[in-house]
Amino acid sequence: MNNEQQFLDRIRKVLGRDQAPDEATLFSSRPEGELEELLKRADRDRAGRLELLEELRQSAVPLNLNVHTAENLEEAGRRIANLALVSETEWGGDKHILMHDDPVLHGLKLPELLAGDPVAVDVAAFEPGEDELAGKQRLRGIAERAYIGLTGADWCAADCAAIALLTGPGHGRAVSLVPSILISVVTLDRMVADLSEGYAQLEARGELPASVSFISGPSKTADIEGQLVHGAHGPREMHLFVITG
Amino acid sequence: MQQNSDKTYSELSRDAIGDEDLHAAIRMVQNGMGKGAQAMWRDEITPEHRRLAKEARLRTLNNLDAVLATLAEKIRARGGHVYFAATAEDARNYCLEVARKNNVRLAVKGKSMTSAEIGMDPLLEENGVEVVETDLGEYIIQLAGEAPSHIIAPCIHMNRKRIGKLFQEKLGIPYSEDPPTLTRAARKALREKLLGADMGISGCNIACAETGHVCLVSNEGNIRMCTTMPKVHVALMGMERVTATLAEHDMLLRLLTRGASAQKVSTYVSFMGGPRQPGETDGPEEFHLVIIDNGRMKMLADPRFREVLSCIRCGGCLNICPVYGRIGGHAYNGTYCGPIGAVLMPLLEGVNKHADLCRGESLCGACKDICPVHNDLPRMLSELRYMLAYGDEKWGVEPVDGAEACAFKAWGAAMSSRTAYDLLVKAGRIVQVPFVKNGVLGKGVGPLAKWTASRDFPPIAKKTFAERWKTDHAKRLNGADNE
Ligand code: SF4
Repeated sequence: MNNEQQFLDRIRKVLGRDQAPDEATLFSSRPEGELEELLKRADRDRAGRLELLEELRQSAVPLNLNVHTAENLEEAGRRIANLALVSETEWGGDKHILMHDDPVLHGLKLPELLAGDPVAVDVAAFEPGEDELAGKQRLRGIAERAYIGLTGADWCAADCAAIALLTGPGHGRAVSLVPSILISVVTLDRMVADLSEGYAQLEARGELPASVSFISGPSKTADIEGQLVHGAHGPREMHLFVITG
Repeated sequence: MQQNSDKTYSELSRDAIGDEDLHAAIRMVQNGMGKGAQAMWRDEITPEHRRLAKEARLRTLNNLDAVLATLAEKIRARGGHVYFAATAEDARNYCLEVARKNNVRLAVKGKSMTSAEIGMDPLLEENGVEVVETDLGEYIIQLAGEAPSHIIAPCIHMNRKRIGKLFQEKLGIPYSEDPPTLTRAARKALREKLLGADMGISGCNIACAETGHVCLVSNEGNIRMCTTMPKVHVALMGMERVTATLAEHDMLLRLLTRGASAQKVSTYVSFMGGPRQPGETDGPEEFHLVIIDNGRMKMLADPRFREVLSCIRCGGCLNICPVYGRIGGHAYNGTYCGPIGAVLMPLLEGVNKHADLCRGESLCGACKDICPVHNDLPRMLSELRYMLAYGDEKWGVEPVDGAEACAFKAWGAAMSSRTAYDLLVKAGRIVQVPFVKNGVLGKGVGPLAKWTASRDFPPIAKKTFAERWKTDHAKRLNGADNE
């Protein structure tokens, strides 16, 4: 990359340096032990996590994010199925739920719970032997029709009610974005206090996937005379289920 | 670069000073976001946090070669393309090339001032690509054929009646001035565009070199749409918009969302560092990052202005600035407005071209206090004014006002001689008499005339401090002697 080398050399020249800086110090700007400290802090006991859950409830209110708690996956499954039955589609057509391919979500047993109702449950994953580009097209069609997107969460930060979603096979980006209603399910052990603890989880992981999103509540805008309206381009409603058992 | 008027800054601001609707709209933003950010600095963010953030910004700038090289390497490792553009033209042409190769007919954009800076849209449009802004505020002004007037709230200068009429005319919906109804209409219209586009163009709030991602914040979700649904994603990034590490990113993100809209975190924070990976069910097939110089290298090279590159474009300084509060964003007549614009625009496009702008701000210091990374904008504005008075070779600045320079020189000379100074003060007291009204110098003469056309100047005191000191101090001394 000739172009790139010229560009970088020019920077070096205007900075008045003739060699590359010490990358070791540049990329370890955290004080020694800080990351370990954050990770230790995030590893709290059940009582501590229940306290965070309370904080999450408070911080979710102004964001119009609905926080629900369920003892276990069965209970959460029943309540999500109910939510699906009472919710309306935004753009017309049949009721489709699109969910991430995730063991926790499979544990909700939604296809069984909704078997007798006119609600289809699709998993956002390629079928065995499916061509990836064709599969992408197929799933995109479903995402555009779906009224509910269902995801897990890598972690959930209590003080700002943000969840983190990391992409990967079976964890597509559109599921949390295109359907009108987003439902996320998080287990209590994934609760962290704030974004700093959340960032520490990401840092400890090493390599990150191509895309990571933090989401806190439904999409919103205040561009018309500063009046807050929910549902701009992303979901207009969001529910977060915390599994406490 | 985006410009909406042939008028100068001085003319535009004179127009805006009489616009009461505009003042009301800005007051709303300044009272909400400006005061909100100040409260957050007071209650939630320690001064230490802001100090460390500034330190991190300067460390990154001082090592920008290594930081950018790491960013590029990480993104390429995931199959993304990275292009380094020295000029606006380079960047534009690269994007056009990408659009051509992919037969792009429709491009959707998520808030990117950089694309306005490099003049991206006109080139794409000339080449048959429809370009649609997808941030609601930007979309509204695009429909109206106007330019943004605020970094974070681009259409604050428009009220709901105007927007209602605009939507009736352009989207063919029944007239409404109800924000939820209008938002729903835009949601529907833009969804078609977002799902039908071949290319998504975004900016970059803060990239992270260590992990190899650009990062964007939004509340609406349009950024995620633009960068997920089209088959090509192009991210435009000024070369300074990057942090070295994730830990620093954490620190800066918190300042950005609080400074911008007094939120702890925005609804969406998206990190994007490459195209769809094998096995992933969605995401763009191509990912391009364009890292842009376009004049930033010169700022980096000049110790007087390097600091301005630590700006994270939160818009905080707009939300506090009394001058912006009176004249609004359009008066600045450029891509970047408010106090940060008053420093950036002259440096990007020429100090002489924006001479009025450099001298428009009041140097009250409010912008420095609110800036999450303590950018000393007033100091840099003074540097710019100094250049304008005396010229500057490095930046190709011609002294604009010979009379002003002479006056300052004379003033300097007078200040260094006691007798000359006393004489000048005495003379001034006599000369000023006909001009003093209501206790201020409303209209000055000579070199003062221009300055006082839009400002008030305090008249020279009946007795100067030095004169008072002489007599009062002498009295006190005498009094003490008498005791
Ligand atoms: S100069 Fe400071 S306050 Fe103004 S936009 Fe930049 S970071 Fe924000």
